[in-house]
Amino acid sequence: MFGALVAAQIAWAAPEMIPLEAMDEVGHTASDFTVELREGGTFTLSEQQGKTVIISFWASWCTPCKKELPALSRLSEERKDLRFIAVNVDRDRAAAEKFLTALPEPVSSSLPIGFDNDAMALGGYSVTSMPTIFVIGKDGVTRFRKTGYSEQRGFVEILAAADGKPIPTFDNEKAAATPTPAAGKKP
Amino acid sequence: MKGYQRVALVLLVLLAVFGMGVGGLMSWHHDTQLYATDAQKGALIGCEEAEGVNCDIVNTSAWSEILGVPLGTWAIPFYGMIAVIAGLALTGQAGGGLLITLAGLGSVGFSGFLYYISVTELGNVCAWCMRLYAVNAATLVLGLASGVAAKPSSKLIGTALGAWFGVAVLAIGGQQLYKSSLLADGGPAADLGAKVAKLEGDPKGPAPTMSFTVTTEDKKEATFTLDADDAWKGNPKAKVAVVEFADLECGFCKRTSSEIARLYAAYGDRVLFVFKHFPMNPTCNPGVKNPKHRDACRAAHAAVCAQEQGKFWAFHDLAFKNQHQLGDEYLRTYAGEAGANLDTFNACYADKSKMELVRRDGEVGASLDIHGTPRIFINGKLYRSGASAEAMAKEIELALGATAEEAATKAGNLKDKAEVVGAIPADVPDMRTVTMDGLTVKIDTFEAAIVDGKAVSGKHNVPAIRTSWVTAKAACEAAGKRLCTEQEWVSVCQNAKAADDNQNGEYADDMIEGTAYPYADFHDKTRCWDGKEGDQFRPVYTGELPGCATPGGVYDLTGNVEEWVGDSAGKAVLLGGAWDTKDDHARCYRRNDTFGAGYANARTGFRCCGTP
Repeated sequence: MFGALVAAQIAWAAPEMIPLEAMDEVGHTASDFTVELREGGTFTLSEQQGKTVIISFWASWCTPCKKELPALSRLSEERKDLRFIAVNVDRDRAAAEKFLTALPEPVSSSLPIGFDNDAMALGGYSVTSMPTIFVIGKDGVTRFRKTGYSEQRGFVEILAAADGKPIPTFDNEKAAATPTPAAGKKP
Repeated sequence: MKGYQRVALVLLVLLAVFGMGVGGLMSWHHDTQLYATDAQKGALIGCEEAEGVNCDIVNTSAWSEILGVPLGTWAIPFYGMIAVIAGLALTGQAGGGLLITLAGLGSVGFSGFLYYISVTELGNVCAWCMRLYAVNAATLVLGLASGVAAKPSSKLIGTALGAWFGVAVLAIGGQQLYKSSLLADGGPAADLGAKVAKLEGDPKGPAPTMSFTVTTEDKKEATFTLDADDAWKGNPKAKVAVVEFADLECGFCKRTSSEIARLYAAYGDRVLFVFKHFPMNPTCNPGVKNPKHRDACRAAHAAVCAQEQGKFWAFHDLAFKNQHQLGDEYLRTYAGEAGANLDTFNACYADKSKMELVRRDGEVGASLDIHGTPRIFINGKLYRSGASAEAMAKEIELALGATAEEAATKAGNLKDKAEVVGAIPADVPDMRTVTMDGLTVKIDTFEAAIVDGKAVSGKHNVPAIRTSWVTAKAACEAAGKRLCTEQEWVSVCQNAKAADDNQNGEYADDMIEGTAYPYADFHDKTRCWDGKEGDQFRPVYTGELPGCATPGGVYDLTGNVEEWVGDSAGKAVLLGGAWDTKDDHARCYRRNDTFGAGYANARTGFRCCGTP
C-alpha cells in the first residue's frame, strides 16, 4: 500500500520549477546601453550619472504607445530635472519613423528618441510587453518598472518613484490600456 | 420643422456617414482576413482581442456574409440610403422620419439577431459590430425624434430605393474588385508551395457493402448501409467497420482523427475504416440547421474531388493538419500536395454536382440523429468526440470475437504502445543526431544552461533565461558548437525536413511538413511545459517532462523557454513558445521575430547544434 502511494506520488509529482530568485530583476544596477538618437548623436545611460532617468521602451505596433509617447513628451517638458529617453525597439527603423510622423504632435526635444533596432539595449531589461517604463535612480539602480499605459493613471507611479515617494496602488482599477505583448504581435 | 427635428436629421446624416465608414472598414477586414497573404494582412484598429471579443472570428464567420458579400459591405448602401433620406428631409421633403424609423426598426431587429448569433454560435462579439448596433438604435430613436406623422411620398420612397441601389452597386462592385485584386496577388496560397513528398494513394475499388443496426444519439433504432462511393481504407472483407462522420473544419474531428489513425495502425489489416462527410453547414448538409463552420462545405467538396483521383486519405490528413487554413487556394494546394492532378481537381471543384455525395452523407447522418461531429460507429455502436483509441479498440476486439477480459487487455496494450513515456535515462547523451529526408542535424538533447560562459546540455539544469541571441551564440561557440538554424530546429521539432515553401528564408511560417508538436500532431497538455499562467508559474528544470520529446529523444523543444536560432543576427528568431504561451500555441511553428538579436527576458533561452 505504502509502495503504491509512493509510486503514485512519483507519477503525479509536478515538474520542478526553477528557483524564484532566478526570475528576480528589480533592484539591480540598470544595464548600461548606448543608442543612436533620432536627432543625431548617441545616448548612453552611464553618462547620465547624478540624474534620475526615465526610460520608455516602445514599438510602432504597440497601440497604447500612441498615447503614452505624447504624454511622456509633455511630462518631459514639465520635469526638466529628470532625464528622459524613449527607446524604439522595432527591427525596422522606417516603421518607427512612420509612427512618429503620424503622431498628432511632434515629440518634444526634451524627450530624445533612441533607436535600438537590434534590441541590444532592450535585452538588458527583460521586457515582455510594450510600452515598459523604467525609473533609474541617481545611483544607477532600477527603482521601478511599469508595463502598459493608462491615461487615467498617467505617470503617477513613475513620478512617485522618481521623487522617492511611496508608490500609490490602484487595486480597483481595470487596465485601461492593456499592454501589447511582444510575442502577441503576430498570430 | 422644429429645431430639435432639424438637429435629429443632421445627427442622422452624420451617423449614417459614420456607419458607411465602419461598413467599409469591416469589408476590408473581412476580405483581407480571408483572401490576403500574411504580408498583406493588417490589424483591425478599435477591436482589441479580449475574453469574448474577437473581430477576426465574428467578421469571417459563415454569418458574416449574405449572398457572398460581407455584411460590412451591405451596411454601406443601407446607411447611404439613411443619409439621403435625412438629407432630403432637411430640405423639407415630408415623410423622411417615418421611413428612417422603419429602417431603424428593421436594423435594430437585425442587430439583435446578429448579437444572438455572435454569442450563441460564435462565442464572441465584435467591437465594430457592437458600434453599428448602437448606430442602428440611435437611427431608430432619431428617426422617431425627427417626426413620423407625415407619410412619405412615392417619389421619396423611389429616391431612397434608388440611393440604396446606386450605393450598393458601387460598394459591392468595389468590394468584389478588392477581393479579386487580393486573389490576383496569389491569395493565401502565395504563402504555400508544394515540396513535401507525395502521400500514399487510396485503396482501389468501391467501398464494400455493409449494413449496421444503430441505437442513435436520440436512443432510437435505425439502420444504415455503406455507400459504394464512401471513402474507405483497411480491410474491405472485414467483419468490423469503423465509420466516422466528420467535418474537416471541426477541431474535435481533427483530434479524433489522430485516435483513429492509431486504431488504423493497429487494426488496418483486420478492420474496415470509412469516412462519411458531415460538414456543420446547412449549405451542403441537410442534416444541420445552423452554419457553424464556414469552410466545411468547400473542404468536403475538395475532399470529394481528391477522392475521385484516389487521393482522399492523403488530402484528409493534409486538411486536418492545416485546419487553420481551409480557403479555396489552400484546398487546391493540399490537393496538389496529395498528388492530385490539379486541372482535373479544378474542374471537379468548380462542379457543384460533386457535392451530391456530401449531401447524401448528411442525410444518412440526419437519419442517425447526429447532432454534432465527430460521431464514430463501430459496427453500429456510437462513440462521440473525446473517445480514446483504447476505448474504441475494446469495442473492435469484442466485435472481432475477443472475450471481455481479452478485449480489455488488448486495448490496454494499444495504450502501452502509444505512450512510450518513461523516465529519461540517466545516461542520455547531451546531443542527438537526427536524419530526415537527407538532412542530418546534431542538436542538444536539452535546452542549454550557461556555465562559465559555455552552453551546457544536460538533465536537471536551470535553462538559460534572459539570454539574447548574441549571448546564446557566444555560449554555443565557447562550447565548440553553434546556434541551430531555423531549418534544423524546425525539422527536428516536427520530425520532418522543413521546407521553405514560400522561399522567404523562413521555415516555420508556411506549410507544416511534419507534426505540429514534437510528440504528435495534436496538443497534449500533459506533455510539455506550456499553456501556464505567466504570473503563477516559471520555467522548469531541463528534462522535467519525459513526454515532451521527439521520437528521437530531443526534449522540451516546445514550451518552457523560447529558443533562439539563426546563423546571423538578421536571421535571429525565437521558436517554440514558452511556459506561458497560451492554450496550445507553443508549437513547432511558433515563430517570434518581433525584436532584434539583443532581445532577452525571462522567456528567452536556446539550445545549440553541432556538425554531424
